[in-house]
Amino acid sequence: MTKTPDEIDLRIIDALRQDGRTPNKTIAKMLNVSETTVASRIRALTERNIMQVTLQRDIYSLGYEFQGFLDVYVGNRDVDAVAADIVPIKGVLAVAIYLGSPDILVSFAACNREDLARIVNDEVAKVAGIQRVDSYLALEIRKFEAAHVALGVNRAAN
Amino acid sequence: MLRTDDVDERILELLRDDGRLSNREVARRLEISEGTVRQRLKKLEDAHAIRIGAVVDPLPLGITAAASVMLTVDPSTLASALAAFSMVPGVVYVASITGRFNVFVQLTALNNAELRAVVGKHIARFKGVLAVELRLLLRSPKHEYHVIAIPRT
Repeated sequence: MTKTPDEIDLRIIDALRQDGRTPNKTIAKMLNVSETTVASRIRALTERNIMQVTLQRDIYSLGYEFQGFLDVYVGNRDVDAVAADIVPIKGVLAVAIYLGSPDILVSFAACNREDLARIVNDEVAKVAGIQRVDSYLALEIRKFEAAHVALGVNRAAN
Repeated sequence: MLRTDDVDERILELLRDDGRLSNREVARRLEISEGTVRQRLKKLEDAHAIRIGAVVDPLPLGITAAASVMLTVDPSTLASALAAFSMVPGVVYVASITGRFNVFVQLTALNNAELRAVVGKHIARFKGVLAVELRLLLRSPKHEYHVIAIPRT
C-alpha cells in the first residue's frame, strides 16, 4: 500500500470533513465506487493515522470564558523539555515550537478569572527554564478550526 | 454554556472515539433508544455545541508548513480584516487579541514559500494593516483538536 492518499481517498476525506456522518452509501454514489471500497478506504485512512472522524465541541458551549495564548521565551533549558512540562497543564489546548523567538506558543482555555490566573501565573510561568511569558487573550474569535492535526502524536496525548 | 447530562456525555464520548458510529450502534452500546440518540445529537448540533467531521494529518497530504501571523490593524478596518482573513485559504484561526498586536492568525500551507506568498498577498496587504510579524511553527507536541469554535451561521 502506498503512503500517499490517492484521488479517491482525498475525495472521501473532503466529504467527511464537510460532514463526518455522511453514510458510506452516499459517498459511494458521489464517487461512483462501491460501498465496500468506501468502507475499506475509511478504515485504512483511520488505521494509518491519516484521518480521524471525530466529535469536536464548541469552546463557548463548554463554558470557557477565556481563550488566549502565551508566548514563552526559554532561558537555560532545552525548549522541547520546557514544552513537555507545559503539555499536561489543565486548560492547555495546544503547544507548538516556533523557529526562533519566542520559543514556544501555548494556546489555552480558561473557565474564569481564577482559572486564567492558575494557568498563566501558577502553572506555566513556574515551569523550569522559562525566562519570560507574554500573554494575550482572544477578544473576538472569528475562526477556530482544528482540521490539521499530527494524529500519530496527538491521538495518544488527548 | 450549554448544559449536558450524563446521557449526552456518554453519547459524545463514543462519537469522540469514532465519529462514524451509527446512531443505532451508539444506542445499542448505551442500551438506550435510537430516537434518544438522534434527539440528543440534534439538540446539541442545533445549539452549535458539537460537530462531527474528519480531522487529517497534514503531512501525508503534503501540507508541511504552519505559522502564526501577528498583526497590527487600524481599528477602523479591524472588522473587515477579521472577516477577510478568515476566508484566506489555509487559515485555521483568526481572532482579535489584547496586547502589543491586535490580530492573531494561524495558517497552514504546502510549504514555506506558499505560506509566505499567501501571507504577502492576502493578509499583509489588506487595507489598514500597519505591521505584520510572521512566526514559523516547527512542530506541535500537543494539539487538543476536540475543542474548536463552531460557526453560528
